[in-house]
Amino acid sequence: MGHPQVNFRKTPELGSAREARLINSLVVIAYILPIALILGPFCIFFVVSFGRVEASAVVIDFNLSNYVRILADSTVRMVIGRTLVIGIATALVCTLVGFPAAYLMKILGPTRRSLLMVAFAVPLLMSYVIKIYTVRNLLGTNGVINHFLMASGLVSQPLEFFTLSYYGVFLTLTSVLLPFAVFPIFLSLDRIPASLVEAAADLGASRTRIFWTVIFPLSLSGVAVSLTFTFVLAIGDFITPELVGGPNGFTLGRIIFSQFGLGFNWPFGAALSIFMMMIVTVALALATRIRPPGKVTF
Amino acid sequence: MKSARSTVVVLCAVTALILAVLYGPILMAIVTAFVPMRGGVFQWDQVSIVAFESINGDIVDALKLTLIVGFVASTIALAISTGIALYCAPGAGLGRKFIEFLIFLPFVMPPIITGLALLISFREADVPRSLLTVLVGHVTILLAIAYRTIVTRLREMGASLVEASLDLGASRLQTFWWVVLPNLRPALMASFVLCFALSFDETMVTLLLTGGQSTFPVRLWGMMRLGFSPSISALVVYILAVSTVLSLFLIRLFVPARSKAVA
Amino acid sequence: MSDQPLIEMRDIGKIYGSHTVLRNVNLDIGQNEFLVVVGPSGSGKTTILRMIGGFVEPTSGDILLNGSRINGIPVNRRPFNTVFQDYALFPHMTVAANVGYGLRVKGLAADEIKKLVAQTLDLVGLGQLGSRYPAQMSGGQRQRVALARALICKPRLVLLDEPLAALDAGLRHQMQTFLKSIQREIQTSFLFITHDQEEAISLADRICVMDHGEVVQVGRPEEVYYRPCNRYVADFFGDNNLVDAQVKTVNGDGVAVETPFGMAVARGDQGMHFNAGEAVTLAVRPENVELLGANGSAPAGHVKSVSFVGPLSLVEVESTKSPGATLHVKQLSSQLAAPFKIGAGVTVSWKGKETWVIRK
Repeated sequence: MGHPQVNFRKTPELGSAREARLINSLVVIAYILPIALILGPFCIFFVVSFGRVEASAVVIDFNLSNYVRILADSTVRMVIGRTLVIGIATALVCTLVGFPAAYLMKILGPTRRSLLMVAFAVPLLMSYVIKIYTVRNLLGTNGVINHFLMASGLVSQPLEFFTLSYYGVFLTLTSVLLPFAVFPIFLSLDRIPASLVEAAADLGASRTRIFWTVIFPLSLSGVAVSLTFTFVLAIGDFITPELVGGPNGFTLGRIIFSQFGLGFNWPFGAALSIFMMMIVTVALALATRIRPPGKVTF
Repeated sequence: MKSARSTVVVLCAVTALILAVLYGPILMAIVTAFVPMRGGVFQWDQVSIVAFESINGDIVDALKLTLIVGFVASTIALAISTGIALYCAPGAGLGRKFIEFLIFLPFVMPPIITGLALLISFREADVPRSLLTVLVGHVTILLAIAYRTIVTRLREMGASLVEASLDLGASRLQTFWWVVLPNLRPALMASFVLCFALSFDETMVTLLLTGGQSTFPVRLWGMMRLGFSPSISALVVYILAVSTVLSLFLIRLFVPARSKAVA
Repeated sequence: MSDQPLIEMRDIGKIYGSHTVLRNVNLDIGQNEFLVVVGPSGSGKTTILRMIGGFVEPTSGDILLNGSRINGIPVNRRPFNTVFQDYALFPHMTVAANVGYGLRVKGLAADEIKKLVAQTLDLVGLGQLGSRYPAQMSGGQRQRVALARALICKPRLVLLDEPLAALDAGLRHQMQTFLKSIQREIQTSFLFITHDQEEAISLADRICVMDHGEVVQVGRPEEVYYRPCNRYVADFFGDNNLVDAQVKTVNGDGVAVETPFGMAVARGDQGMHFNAGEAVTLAVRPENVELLGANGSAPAGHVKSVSFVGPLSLVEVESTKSPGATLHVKQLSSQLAAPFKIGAGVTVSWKGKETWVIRK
């Protein structure tokens, strides 16, 4: 044989004990951590929803009373109904208004596009409470607008229409969640190959026609993400209703939060949360139906 | 293809409206930080930085704590999700699908649910609420984002680089340090900045899991319930600065220099 | 040098779930041999390469290296190196670092690595480009880097997984010649996978033809080309006439058969044991048939079409006896005179040595 012997001495063996241990621990981490951090807590949560509070302690006796209460209590039902309305309205408005902005982002040149992206990303990354603070600072009972209206004599009482109401919650959520709509739609628009648009133009389609027959259907995946993102964040929020909802602006998120605070009824809060998860699941299932016909692979 | 001029005008108008809605309140808060208001009128002759001086040390400490939590939580989330991504990237098997499902669950569900689930679990396990529980909450929330970015990059890399390295006699560890990690670095950086930004912004889980230590959102939450204060307005300026820097970073890291499609 | 093959694959089977990828594969790779495995996609040829490389373990059967079993030995401990189809060059390393990688993982000293890298880059003709990054190189250059990276470890066997598939035709021929000369120069066995039959014939010392996970035929290029073992192989390489025929008499490896174009004497594999009366297929290359004018005798067929393709013209003849049966003949264009006008009656002369009979 004319071959020099290949030297394997320094090569750590693939099957060496040290390496096998390492790989095994990787596998263990991959399974243990998600189970401990996510599956476990969600299961405990689920179990607690079948309990009740007795003498300021949670007793788990597997009864359905919390779920019965969700369905029977007219106040809870009303709150859930209003939460859904706020969630859907927020999702629709954000997506409708966000789409043109996303489209503009797509057709701009690289520099302007980056600037616009930064402009949308900055509010997205500002501390959530701060954003709501700024909205309340403007629209609230003691806000700039009310100060202005009172001083100019247009109104004698501060307007509470903007805040301290469901309407205020909706307005605030919409302004805070708008960037969440813009980015997914932009990403889906950006994925559409230019060749498709060119092909449509080459076939003589007008701009309007190209938009409705090519661009819009292919951006539907982004629209679906935008709708679900904003909807889920809107119905789950408790900070906005807590800060701008006033005494009446209760949403599902807020009553859940209150069960873990002053209300102290963890099992009922847990049951409400499970109910919210079901709503989210239904919303996600519906969103998967929003997609272009046929199979799109890019 | 170029869009019609009228279309562009309409798009610009809508976008301007959104930006006004987004930035109007922020700018107004910044104005109120500098200019006191009396009887509904800005006192333009009394422009001052008093509000900034009124920011007390507590808030600065809270801000520091939040930045530390963000840094530590992002690092841990990145390390864990790199490990999980290395295992799950091949993508086959029910177990891997299940892990992915779990990781994405907190991302898909409203944050309040994840926060409460952890809260109850900590209570059941007799773990008192503390900075540590906040950290665990943040890591849980961030896993999905970090995992997604890393696993996408790993799948783009494909199996052949790893195979080539093994084929040339490298051990798994050598392959990880010399081939996988260098190719993963941009994704790791991008993912770190994104995680950090999200952790900085995260309020709901933090509020539910926090103990005595007041991180920034908790502190603000307390202050806001008391009403307005010029020092919060002054903080807006700082927050705006931080998030602008973060978003510049993010756009740099995530947006390729040239987009592949132009309408 | 011993006669023992470098690699022996013994009764190899590979099953993924319910899908059988390889069935009963027996294949040897000789010392310093250039073996080409050829087959359509999905025939299992890449699985063979990956199995020898250690990326895939066989479900059944053994792989031997110089007589000792290497099943279960991990990729990084097998003395083989691979040139991947997509080259798999490390994008974050320079060409020199890529080529030196195999030495680096073995812990060689830096200056020794540098020396060997320089030598190997010279060998593949990339002496000056060590400091470039793969992204800055052309497809052909990357190909050479991938080859250098595999060769520097002095493997017993170089595995090449359709390495030329991504190159354009001109570069491909150039690389084929280059690969062949390198293989002769460094005296190492090459296992080369391709779906291209021409590439297989021009490169191989021996060819292994695969189909549906089975080895169909192994032999020297001229063997698989002129003496295919079945219809599949006969059809796989280049133009071939497959003519239905019936055995009349058998004499050693000579077989007299009746064809739609008259009687022919052909040769067949002695191991096949043809019987008189058996229906068989005649495989004969268009260049190995000669057409003669009918000259009054009963024509075996008539000219159906003639296409001029340079010095040789392709003549299509349809049988008189059984219309529908056709024969393609390559005839020197200069001989194409009046007897071979369309519709003219012709007789066929078979070159017995090059007419091969296979079982139907």
